[in-house]
Order: sequence, then structure tokens, then C-alpha cells
Amino acid sequence: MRAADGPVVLAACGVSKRFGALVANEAVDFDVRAGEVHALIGENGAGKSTLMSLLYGLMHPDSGTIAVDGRAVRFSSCVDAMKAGIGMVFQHFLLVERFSVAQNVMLGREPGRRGMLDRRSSEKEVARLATGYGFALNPATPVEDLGVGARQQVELLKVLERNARVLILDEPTAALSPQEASALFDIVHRLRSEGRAVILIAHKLKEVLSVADRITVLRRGKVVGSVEPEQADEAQLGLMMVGRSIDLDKRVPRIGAPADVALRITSLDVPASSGAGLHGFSLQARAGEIVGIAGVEGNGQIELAEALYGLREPTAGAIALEGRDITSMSCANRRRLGVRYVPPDRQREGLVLDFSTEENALLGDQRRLRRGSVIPAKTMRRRADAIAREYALAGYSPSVKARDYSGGNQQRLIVGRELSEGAALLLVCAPTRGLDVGAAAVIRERLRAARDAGACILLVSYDLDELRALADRIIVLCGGVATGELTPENADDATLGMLMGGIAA
Amino acid sequence: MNRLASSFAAAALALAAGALAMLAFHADPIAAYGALLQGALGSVQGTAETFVQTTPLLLTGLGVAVAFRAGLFNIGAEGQLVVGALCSAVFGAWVHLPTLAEIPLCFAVGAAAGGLWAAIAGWLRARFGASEIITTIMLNYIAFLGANYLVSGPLRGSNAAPETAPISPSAVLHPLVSGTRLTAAFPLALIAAAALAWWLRRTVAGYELRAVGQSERAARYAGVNVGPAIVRAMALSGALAGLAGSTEVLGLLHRFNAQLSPGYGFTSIAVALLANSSPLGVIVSAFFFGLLQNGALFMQAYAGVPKDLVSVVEGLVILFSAAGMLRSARGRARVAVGPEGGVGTAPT
Repeated sequence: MRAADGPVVLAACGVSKRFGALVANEAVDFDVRAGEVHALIGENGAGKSTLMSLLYGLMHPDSGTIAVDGRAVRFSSCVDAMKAGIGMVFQHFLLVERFSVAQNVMLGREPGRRGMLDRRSSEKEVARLATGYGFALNPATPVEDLGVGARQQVELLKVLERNARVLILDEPTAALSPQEASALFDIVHRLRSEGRAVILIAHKLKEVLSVADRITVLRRGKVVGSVEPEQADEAQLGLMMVGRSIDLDKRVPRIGAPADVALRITSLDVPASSGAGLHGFSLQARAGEIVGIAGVEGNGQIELAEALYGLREPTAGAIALEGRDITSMSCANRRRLGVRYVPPDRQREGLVLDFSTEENALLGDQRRLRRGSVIPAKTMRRRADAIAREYALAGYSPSVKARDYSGGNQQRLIVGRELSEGAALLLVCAPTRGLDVGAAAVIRERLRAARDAGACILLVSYDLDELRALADRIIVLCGGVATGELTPENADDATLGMLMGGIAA
Repeated sequence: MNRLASSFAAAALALAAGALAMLAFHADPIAAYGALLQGALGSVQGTAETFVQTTPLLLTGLGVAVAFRAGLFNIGAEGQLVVGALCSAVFGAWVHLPTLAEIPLCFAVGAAAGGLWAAIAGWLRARFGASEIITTIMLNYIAFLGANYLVSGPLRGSNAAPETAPISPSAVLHPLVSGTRLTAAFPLALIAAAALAWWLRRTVAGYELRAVGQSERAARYAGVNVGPAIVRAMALSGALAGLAGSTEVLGLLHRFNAQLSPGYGFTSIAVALLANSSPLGVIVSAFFFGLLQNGALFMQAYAGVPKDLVSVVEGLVILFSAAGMLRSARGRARVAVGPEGGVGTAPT
């Protein structure tokens, strides 16, 4: 790491932004120099995205100024920001699925003559750019056929094609495997050495410490401080972010020994939807145990979880829960037996965003808890109140729509609901993805408590630290096949990486 | 609240645009709307007739609204109304029972027929993913032409006209107020609206229907059997339209012919849109459209403004309602890139 000494290219000087009563940014000073990676960290709702929207011209500050190369500017939209050499890669990619890589990169500035597109020259241009950065992308491939890592490279190319001097990366590693993330950081270093300025919004402190030249922490809309990674560690950053110390990845030993085998999976085959499918998978898991499932995204994890939950029909094999065969039982009936699911996509699978909090608190149990044919209004309300209390749901009222909560609060609501009456088998997918330290700590603590209360938990996660912190043993999936089983103590990155890549350890 | 305001704004803008159109043709909009109101609400007979016009719009509007709430676009209310009316008329002519048994049975037959007709589109959607927009339009044609054929051939009454035989006297809904055509169908439709509002809000089936409409995927993850839920929603939607057909047969025409509906099933789409698919809102918006339709002739006679202007206003209501929905959807998208969803509630 070296402190960058290039000129300041983009700066926010004393910017404030309010939304009604909510102060999203208050007198924030933030700048980035050429040839520097400046990381911005903070909890969900700390004001990171607001600050980036101000820098990128999506919103105007109520007070304070944005300056490019030391001159105050007023962007009327992000088009102006792009013209000033600022590019942003959003956490949720903005790509046209049906378009090819080249079409996506050149969108809005396609080369051509007299209204006719020149496909060849745009593909050539994109291929040149991609090879320059070592991306293995075929410009003619439709984006819908690409994985998460490759899609991100397309987003990066979009920004680089416009020759951006400042790149804003919003949680770029949230959806990446460790290998993809480290490849991304190589590119970030490369961009820095080209003299570009990079603003990195991130949650994972370890990553931030290894890649950034300077780290600024936001809390409740204000800058808490800026540090250089040499003078900081994770505990200190965590303290700055939340205002109290949290050791997220510490292992907490379980209370008591695991009981009898609760879940017995015998040579299960599940057809794929987009990933690898699952082939001949067997597992025995005990009550009071967390079994971690590691693997690069799309290697059969979702097929496994959904087959266990009853949303996907296995073509062979058997599933037994507490000695009872549930292989072809419906999802609703499995829920009656205590099968619970925290799905990977909380907004589209875990919640009905336009339902109120109390309606969401009932979701999945509406039939089990009904009174005749009527919704159990009191139970529903009591449940929502209890979740809000136990999980400290910020801004709670029974009638608030799920859409209006932050990501962390949405996940608290889902986990709270799925654990509200105890679970026999709890399936959890990427439970803390994109969550800040505070919310992640709450979720992990609750999962441990559910295990200690006797639940059998299957934890699918793409965050190896999370697996090591929570799981009692880790099974690695590659291409839909179990390639190994490790204890968390033996599961170092290298071993896991090899198993995840299908190389026997 | 916001939505309510935007519905009233849509109606007001449509009336204002209608007024502008009148001004362009040198007509006096105040006199025209005055005559329209006078005709629709100025007398006992006029008011009763407004309720008569409101009844089928209310029932079909509820049908379209319940489909909307399930995420389905039922354009086939007109066809479902025709099928319900025809079956009701044939059944009413065929059986002779005491009034208290016959009338409910005729309603049941009409609702069942409309429901089954719509359930075809629901099943095609659930089983094959066929767009219910297309299939309900096609089922409309089958219903219209099929009914035309039946009443000019196999089901034609003794009369020379292409219509079914009259229903038995015990099936006739008599006027509540003498000298008007207002029958018990109107209060029944009001009860249906209240019942539907309660059902959607308070029952498990209504909850699941709304969940499917808001997010099919999340509903599936909540253990809802989505396919059957879609078929049920379409069936309920069609049953309400079929019921509208029955009320026309039992209360007004006492038989079926092809001129039974002036397009209630199509206007009902505007009714449901303006009401933002809220059953209680449908009462208000159906009354608004019923009033327009009933007052239109009076407006033509006393203010010299062609009654077709009312169709223009109806079209404009759809336009402005849709524009209002787009605006609120865009506002939401803008908030989403705002302050990280906020610590608590997102600012609006």
C-alpha cells in the first residue's frame, strides 16, 4: 500500500442531504485522488449510497458543493457526470439481458453510419478493451448467458469504454466467489496504476483493508473519520462503523452436543434450472447442528435447498425428516412439519414487498395458522410485534410496507418470521449478503440460537468467513457433486478453493 | 390516500378535457354537464335509472378488479357476462320453481357459467403460460358469436326475433320502486362489493390471491399453489361478470338477446382502473360511469352535445388513470436509488 499523492479529481465539500425528517448526509467531506483507491464503509442506511448519488449527479445536495478537478460543478444528471469522467458500477447490474456483451458496452454510443449499426467495429472495440484488462469475454455472447463475475466485467467495460477517470464501485464483491473477488481486486490495482481514481463501497472489512489506500467511515450520515489501512484493523473499523465493538467472524461454540439424525438425504438427483443441478447427493444432518454448504454460486446449492423445501422435484433419491419420507411432499405440508426457508433473494422470494409488515410476518404460515377460512389477525399482529421487538426492526409499524425497510431490516423480518415458532429443518441461503455488520451479527446470533434450541440448519453461503464462523462442518459442492467435507478448523481458503474448483484436496 | 387523490384527479381531468372538447365545438360545457346531472339525478326516475346502469358496471368492475389484484388482466368480462346471461335465461325459462328458490338458482347458474368461461383462460395461463389478455379476448369472440348462433337457431324462442324464450314469471326480479326499473340487483351488487372487500382483506384465500398478484415468486416460496390460485381468481372474476349478466336478464330483459349489453364488460375495465382495483372504490367509480351513461341522452337532448362525448370522457379516464399509475411507479423507482432505503422508512 502506498499513499496516493495525485491531485484530487472528485470531491464533495460539506454536502448535506435530507429526505423529510431523515438526514442522509450531514456536512460530509469526501474526496478521491488520481491513482488512489478510497474505500467508503458504513452500515446500511449510513448514507453511502446517498453520497454516491450526489457525486454521480443522480441527486443534488441541499447544501455544500461537488467539485471536479477543484472546480465546483452542478450535474443536472448522471450524463453530465459521465462527461466529466465519472463512471459508476451499481451493485445491482444494469444490463440488457438479451443484448450481447458488445451491445451492452456500446449502448447509447453505438458506432455506425446513416442509422445503420456497425456491429463488427463495436465488437472489435470491445474485444480490444476486454483483452487489455485480461477479461475472458466474447463480445458476441448474450449477457443472459453470463455468470455474476462476467456480468460485472461487462459493467466495468461500460465505464472504461467511456474512459472514466473516476470509478465508483458499489459493493462490487457482494455476489462474487473469493476467486472472482481477488481477480476483481487485481483489476482495481491495475486501474489505480493507470492513474484512475477508484471509490470502493464495501462491507467486508478484510477486503477493504487489503485493497484500499484510504478508508473513510460514515455513520448516520456523518463522516466518523478517515484512516489508512496500515494504521487500522477490523476491530477498529467495526467500532467506528457501529459505535460498539463487534467481532462478526468469531466462532461461538455450540451449547450441548448435537442430537439424533434429523435429516437424511439419500443419493438425491435434482435437475438444474440454470446452474449445475445436483447429482447423487447424500447427507445426514443432526438436530442441533449447522451444516455449511460451500461452493461457487450456481453449483447445485439452490437446487439442494429448493428440493428440501419442496419447490423442486428430485428425479431420484429420497429425503427423510425425522424418519419420515418427505421426498414428494408439498411445500405447504413441509412447512407444517417445521421446514423453514430463508431464500437467497429476500426482495423477490422472501417478501411480498407491497404487503404490510404484519402480512409479511404471516407469509408461508397463512394456512397453518388460519381460523376457519379467515386470517388470524391477532396472531399476525402479535407475530409482527414480536419480531420487531426481538430483532429491533427500525421504523417498525404493523402497516409499513416491506418495500420501505432497508435491506438489513428486511432480512431481520424474514429470519424472524422463519424462526418465530422454532424450526425442525432450517434452510438458509446467503443470509447476510449485503448486510452491514450490525444486521449480520443479529442474524448470525439468531441462527446459532436456533441451532442450540435443536434445529437442524443447512447453511448455503458464498462467504467463507461466514461458513467458518457458523458451521459445525462444511460440505463443498462443485458441479452439483459433493467434493469434500471439512471441519471449520481445517477449512482454510486454499483447501476450500481447491474443493470448490473440483480439485481433490 | 395518495391513490385516492390521483383517482379523483384522473376523473376531474377527464371531465375538464371533455369540457375543452365542447368549447372547441362552441358548445357550453356548463350547460351540458348541468343537463347530464339533471338527467341522471334530477328525478326519482332518473336517479333510479342511474342505479340501474350502475349495477352491471359495478359487478363486472368488481370482476375485473379482483383479477387485477391477482395480477391478471381480464379483458373478457363482456364475454363472461354474455355467457352468464345466456345460461341464466335458458335455465330461467326451463325451470318453474317458487320465486325464492328460482331467483337464487338463476343467479347461481349465471355466476357458475361466467366463472367457468373465465376459468378456461385461467387454466390456460396456469398450465401453459398463455397470456390471459389474449385468451380472454378470443373467448369473447367465441362467446358473442356462439350466443348469436344459439339464439338464432337451437335456443330461439317461439318469437321471430333472435332471442330466447322468456323466463318463467317466478324468475322475474320486480322493480323496488314502481315506475322505475330499479330492482334488488342494485343492493345485491353493493353487498357483493362489501363482501369482496372483506374477502380479499380478511380471508386466507384472499390473502393468497393478493400475494400471487403482488409477487408470484414470493407466493410460491410461501407454499401457495400458484396455478390453482390463478384459476380460482379468474373463476371468481368471471363469476362476478356472469352475475352481472344474470341481473340484466332477471331484472330488465327477462330473456336473452344479443343486444343485452352495450359493452358493460369493456367499460368495467375503466371502472376497475379508476377505482385502483379496490372493491369499495369500484362502487364509487361504477356510480360515476353509470351517471355519465345515464345522463348522456339528457345531455344530447337538452344541451345539444352528442352523447358520444361520454365515451370520450370514459376513454380519457383510462388514459389519465394509467398516467397516474406510471407516475407513482416512477416515483418509487427514484426513491429506490435514494438513501439506501433509509434507516427506517423510505422518504416519500
